[in-house]
Amino acid sequence: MLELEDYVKIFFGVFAIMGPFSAMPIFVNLTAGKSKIEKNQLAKNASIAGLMVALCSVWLGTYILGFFNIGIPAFRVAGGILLLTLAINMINAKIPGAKQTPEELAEAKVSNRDLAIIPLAIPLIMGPGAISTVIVFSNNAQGVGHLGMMSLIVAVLILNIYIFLRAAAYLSEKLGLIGINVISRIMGLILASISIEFMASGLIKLFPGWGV
Amino acid sequence: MLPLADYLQIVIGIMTIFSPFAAIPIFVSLTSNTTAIQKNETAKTAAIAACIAGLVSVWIGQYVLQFFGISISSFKIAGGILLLLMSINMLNAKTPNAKNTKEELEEAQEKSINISEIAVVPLAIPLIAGPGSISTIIIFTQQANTLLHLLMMSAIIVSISVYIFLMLKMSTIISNKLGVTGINIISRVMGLILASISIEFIISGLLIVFPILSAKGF
Repeated sequence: MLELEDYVKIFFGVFAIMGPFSAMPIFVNLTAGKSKIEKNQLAKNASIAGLMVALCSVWLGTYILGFFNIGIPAFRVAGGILLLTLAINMINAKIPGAKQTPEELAEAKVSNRDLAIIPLAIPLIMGPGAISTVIVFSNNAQGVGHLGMMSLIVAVLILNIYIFLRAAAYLSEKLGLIGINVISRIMGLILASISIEFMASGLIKLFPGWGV
Repeated sequence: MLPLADYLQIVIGIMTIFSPFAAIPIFVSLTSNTTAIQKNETAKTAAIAACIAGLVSVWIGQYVLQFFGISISSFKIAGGILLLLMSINMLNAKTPNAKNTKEELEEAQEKSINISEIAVVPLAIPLIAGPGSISTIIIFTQQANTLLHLLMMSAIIVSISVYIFLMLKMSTIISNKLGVTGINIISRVMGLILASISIEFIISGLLIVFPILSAKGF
């Protein structure tokens, strides 16, 4: 288990990628024309599914990497590269292809199936960027206490997303496209720095000579 | 406090990115149907808002980084990569998407019926004070850690904001005189300076993260 201060840092680090602002406009777009009850139901189901994925990443992430024989340092470098490309997209105010492609949005709009799990929970709330960030931070320490704290952090962040999705229609009208994009640009800046930290810590483990 | 020559470098560095030139063409097109008084008003509000964003970056930037647990060396590398990408756009005379996208311009055009609504967003943020400006200001602020340095940085931000206000105020004349080509040439030259600054940021960050890179005989 780490210091409380470290958990505050982890919380905001994960918040940069699991913030509500990227999912919100897409949620509004996808649920346009649905009744309020349906929207609330969708927000709830999507958040519950997102929470499941997040908890799986916390508790099982290491074992899945072990199963594929991937070392944590290599995963840090790979996750860092992925996060950097996501961050550059966020800085340019584009929806990253890793979250949703235009084709996927078009498919989701015409289909009648439930949208809660795909695409809302995966990959909008918990995409590859969020999953790898959670796995990397979960590996910062050993022990049940640390994993418990990580579970608490992701649960609070998912609750936050749920609240924002409930208020999505109102908020996205208030903030406007530019307002949401400004937030996403600043978050992109933070995320880009976090991605460099991941890559650097992975590279130093892989090439111990570099850190001397 | 740094030597005076360093502050000259900082002023030039910040001016390349915390600059009115990306905002001028958009300012002119959005304010084309307004009176001179309204234009003045918009230019003033935009310059003040950009100044506040700059001052916030100077005084609070490092705490925000600490808050997210980001070291200044990683921030230098990330900010450098971002600036390099933006400067390549500037060299190609494109408005970087990090400053403004097409959809945002459309939204701003709809809003520009009421001209006061566009002064802060998008003119001040992110066109003048976008992620590139904010990271440049934070990185330069980190070069020394004294109150005097922070005050010097604030003075620099305020004076550049005054310059931004004057440029926006005269934007119609400037864009008529310079034309698209003239403005693009300025943006290309600025892009070149910015590209070099971005490399300096990346390298100084890398030297701290991987100390072996600075070892002699390597």
